[in-house]
Formats: sequence, structure tokens, C-alpha cells
Amino acid sequence: MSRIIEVENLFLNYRGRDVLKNISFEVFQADYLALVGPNGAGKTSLIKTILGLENPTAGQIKLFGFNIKDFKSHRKLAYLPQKHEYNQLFPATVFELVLSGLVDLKKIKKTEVKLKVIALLTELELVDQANHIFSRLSGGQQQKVLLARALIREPQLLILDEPTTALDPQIREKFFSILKKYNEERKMTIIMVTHDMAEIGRYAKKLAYLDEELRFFGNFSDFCQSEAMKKYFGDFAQHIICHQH
Amino acid sequence: MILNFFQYSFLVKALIAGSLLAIITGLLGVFLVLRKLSLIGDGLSHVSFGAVALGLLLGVYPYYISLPLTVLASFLVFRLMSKAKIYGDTAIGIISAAGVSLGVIIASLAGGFNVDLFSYLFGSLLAVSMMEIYFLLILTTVTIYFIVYNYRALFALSFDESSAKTMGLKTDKLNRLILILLALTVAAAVKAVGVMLVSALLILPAASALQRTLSFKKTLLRSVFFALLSVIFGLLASVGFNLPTGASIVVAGLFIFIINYLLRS
Repeated sequence: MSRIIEVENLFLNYRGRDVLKNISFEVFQADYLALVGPNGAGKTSLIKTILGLENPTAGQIKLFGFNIKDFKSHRKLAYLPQKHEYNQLFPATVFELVLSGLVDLKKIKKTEVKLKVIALLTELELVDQANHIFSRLSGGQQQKVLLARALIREPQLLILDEPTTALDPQIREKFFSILKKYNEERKMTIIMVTHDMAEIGRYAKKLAYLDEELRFFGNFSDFCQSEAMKKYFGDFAQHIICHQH
Repeated sequence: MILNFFQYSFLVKALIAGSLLAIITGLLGVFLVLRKLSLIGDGLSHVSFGAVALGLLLGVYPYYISLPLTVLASFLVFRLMSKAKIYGDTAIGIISAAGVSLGVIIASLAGGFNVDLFSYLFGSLLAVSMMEIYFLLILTTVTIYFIVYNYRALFALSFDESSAKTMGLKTDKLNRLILILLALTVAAAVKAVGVMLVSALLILPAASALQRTLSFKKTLLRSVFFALLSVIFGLLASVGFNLPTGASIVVAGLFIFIINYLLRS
């Protein structure tokens, strides 16, 4: 499997404080990585640095083998930010928003694009809302629209920042099952920042526990046997995560 | 009254200039309001005031000074926001304060506020020249072309700048281009509606359009429509009731906003 992300000795200092310290890890094609950690642990900072939205203080990041500063293949990427980062009252239809996921694609026929958007909306059970106004949808529906906006890019790497926060269980389940399908069938690499540790154990293949430093990185079975993680989560919490997995 | 209106060339010129300005501010205003940068027009208009004062002091046609200086100020706002990690409203506040204070100092050096400088404070659309109309015509054409050509990119940028960047969009370049267009618009609008009211022309039509949640395209078109209505009704009120033109246009815009707000409620 090819390397998708390579992070080496990464440091990020923000206003005099190290928010990321000496982070190193690799992500391979078709990995499904859950990035967890307490509030303020640097999870969002890490993914923003990987995506080139923040400049690291030290260290190296490679995306698809290219140094992040030289990386040009943005077609391979999709990013679903936290809710507060986008305008939830934005005046646009569901169709317009999903279509905007293809903003960097110039040479594609209008009819082809339309069919593509409709097919994806059908898959995500959003086709009836295609002409609905985004701001009038529920929080869960809005997140599904944004997932469609990311998936329409057919990315090889999808990074999601707390996408399931405050979703009702039914929509959350649907959300996770779509991601699982794309991960397994299309070998899409997924990194998801989440607080939903018990749930993510059912879907993700790997887990990274971040608290400014990378405390744990590996697969779930290693996590379940890790004595160090027991200290962090306690027997009971670790049991719940491992049981779900 | 409407037929009489067209008998006077200065009124026709004012209507043309105001309409061109309405198209630009209606379009740009939506992008500013959505990105919570509404007051940038206010800040740049204050810079424009300082530049006009400088032009009058030096005896140079104010346009020639205010156009480049306002563009320069827009770059400064952008630099403060992106490099100095200052919030947008703070950066705008700094530039705005600098513009007004320099304008007042220059005016005092020139022996106080004269009639010319006062006309820029409150606008004089009825005195618009053909050169200014040509400039507005070019600016309108460029703005429409810019928005149509970059429509999808501007849409993505307005929705969420972070994900737009990860899609490979050159967001810094787009932001700079928007600011240049805005700075040129503000410099032109100051003559029409005045320093005190220029930001209203950018904010009110967009805010009125956003009272109803529609598609993005419809929101842009409605904003332009409301801006045009403000100019037309404002001019008619100004001529009919002998009121200041700039203020009448803004009050018309305010009425349109209130009606839209009430209809939504």
C-alpha cells in the first residue's frame, strides 16, 4: 500500500505555546484513522498543518510523496471542517453547495456534472432536498450535504473534523456506514477527528491519541493491549472502545 | 415628474452613475456581508476621505490621489489580517482611524474644511462628471467579468475559506482582487454618496437580499436589484423633495431593508 501522509518530527508553535510536539506517523492508502484526544490537544491544528492551512514551526509533512509546500494534486484531497468554520446561514441550495465541491474541475460537461451530483445525492438520501436551501436543513442534514460536497471530488484522502458532533444516532449511523463503504470499496483513506470514541471503534482501523504529543498510534488491538492507554482511559473506558471494535 | 427628470442631463448622468455604482456595490456587498467584512467599505471610505483632503491640499484632482491610496489601504488591511493575525474588524478599525485622522490633519493644514471637502463627506451624485461615469462603466464591466469568471471559486471562498484552500484555490489572490475592486468602488462611490454613507450602499442591498434565504445566484441578483431601487428612489426623492442625494439613496436602501425584514418576520 502506498504512503498517503508522512509526518516527521512535526512541531507547531502558536503564540509562544507548542500545540504540537515532535509528531511522527505515517498513513497508508485505505487506512481509516480515528484521531482522538482531549479538548485543546491539537487535533484540529494537526490536520490543518497536514492540509497546509498552518505552517509548521519545524518538521516535515509529505502528502502523496510530495512535500506539502510543493503539493499541487489538490484533486486528491477533500476536507470537511468543523461546523463553526463554515457559514451555516449561507444562501445556497443543496445542489449548488455539492456542486461547489468540483470548483477546481474546469473540463467537465455540465450535464455530466449534474448527473454526478444527483447520483451522489441519491446515494446519501438527499436527492429530494436537492433544491432545498442549505440553511433551512437540520444540522444532521447539513453535515450530510457537506459530506456529499467532499465525496463528489472522489478524493483519495478525506479528512473530517468532528463531523458527527450533535448528530442524532440515525444520521450518525448513516454517516459512518457511508464512510466505511468508501473506505472499503474505493480504498479511500480517511482521517476523522472525533470525540466519539466508543462509536469510532466500530469503523476505524487505526487510532491516534494526541495530547500535544502523539501518545498512541496504531491499530485497535494494540490500543486495547496498551498499558499506557489504560492509564489514560481507565480499564472501563478502554473496554468499551475495544468491545465495540 | 419622471419625464421632466430625463430633460436634465445632470439628472440622467446621476442616474447612470448611480445605477453603475449600484450594480457593483450590490454584487460585492454580498461577498462582504457573508464573510463578515461589511465594515471594510467604511474603513476604506475613511482612507478615501484622507486621500481626497490630500488631493485638495495639493491642488490635484482628488480621484488621482484617492484611487491609488485606497487600493494601497486595502492591501494594508489584507496584510494586517493575514500576516499580523489580527481580526478583520480590528484591521479595518486601524486603517479607518488612520484615514480619518490624516484627513482631518490635512484639512486643518489647508485652513479648515472647505466646500469641496464637505461635498465628499456627504456626496454629490448630481455633480458627477463624464470621466467619472466612464470610470464607473469600466469598473462595472470588470466587476461583472470578475464575478462571472470566478463565480464558483468565489462561492467556495465565501462559504468556507479553509476548505476552498484545500481544493487548491488561490484564496489570497482572490481576496486581493476583491479588495482592489472594492477599493476602486469605494473611491468612486465617495463622490456619489459621500464618505459617511458609502458603506451603507455596500451593506444595505446585500443585507436586504439575505433576509430571504434563496439560492446564491438569486441572492446576488436581488442584491443588485435592491441597490438599483435604492438609487432610483433616492434620486427621485432627492429631486422631488430637494433632499441631499447621497442620504436619500441610503434612506431608500434602509426602507427596502426594513420592508424585507418585516416580510421575513
